[in-house]
Amino acid sequence: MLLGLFFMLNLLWPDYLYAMHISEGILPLSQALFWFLLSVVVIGLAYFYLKKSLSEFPERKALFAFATALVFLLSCLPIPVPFVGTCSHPVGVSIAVMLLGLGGGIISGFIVLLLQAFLLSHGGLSSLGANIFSMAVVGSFTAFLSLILLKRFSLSPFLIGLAMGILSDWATYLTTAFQLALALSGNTPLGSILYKALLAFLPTQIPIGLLEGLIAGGLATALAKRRKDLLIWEV
Amino acid sequence: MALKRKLITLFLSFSLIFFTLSLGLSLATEEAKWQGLDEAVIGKIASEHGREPKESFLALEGDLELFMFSLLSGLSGIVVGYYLRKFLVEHTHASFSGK
Repeated sequence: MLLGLFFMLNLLWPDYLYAMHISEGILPLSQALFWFLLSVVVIGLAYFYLKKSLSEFPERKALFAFATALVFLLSCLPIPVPFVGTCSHPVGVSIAVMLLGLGGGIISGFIVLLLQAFLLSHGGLSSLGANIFSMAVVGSFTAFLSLILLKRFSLSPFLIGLAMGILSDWATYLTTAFQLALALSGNTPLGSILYKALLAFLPTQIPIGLLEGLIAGGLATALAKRRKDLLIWEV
Repeated sequence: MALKRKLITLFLSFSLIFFTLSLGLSLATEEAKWQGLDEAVIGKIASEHGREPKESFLALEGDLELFMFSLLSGLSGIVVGYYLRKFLVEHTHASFSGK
């Protein structure tokens, strides 16, 4: 109820609900097509992987609905960062990876970005491929790689969730900064634009990434206590 | 124990309401503050390099944006709440009653 109230009150000011997405008109057509095609290939592979996994464990279909809805809520929530004076939102795909694996994370992120682009006009249609690649693909891959590495050290679910959340968030914004730098590097070297974008992202995204890690770690702890079987690394 | 929990819930509720209202007021009064990163960073850097961000082809106008945000967030909130209860509460009750 509290969370519902919080989301509702935040949504009363929709004009300020900005996202991290690259807007319409920033990417050159050739790069927009490149990111789109790359994302389509990865999404195709992720879809088959997820389909196989859901046919093996049909009870996980409910988890997929839950994870996608949660990723949607988190990625629509602009969180103000005090002192910096900007807002940003968590990515959320690490939670989907935690529950469904890599394929689930990618497809959940893809559905969320599609809904945001078509129904909420967040991010542009021409930049949809780039936004899918940074958030759904790179975010999920980073969360999954962190999980594979950390699982070996028998860490607590909280620490695994924390690392997955933080790293997937930061990797998403690192990719966005790279995509932006690539799009704008004509007369200016790519490195200098990348450096500038990263410096501008850092003050907002370091605390947001930590917050995302805490959310993912908290959920992992709650599930480990009551429903261990729902965590992908316990299956 | 129950009283303590109620007090904590009450405190958290008021803190959240206060925080959200303060945020809303600051947003309403200060135009340039609390911009999202897409505007404050991506849009700004793109404009500096001669690529002005354009409005989305599917831009929502007027209260339609508020309607869509409220509807989709409300629906996803219901889905999250429903399944969270199903996974954590109902499953635990079923386990205890031996079902």
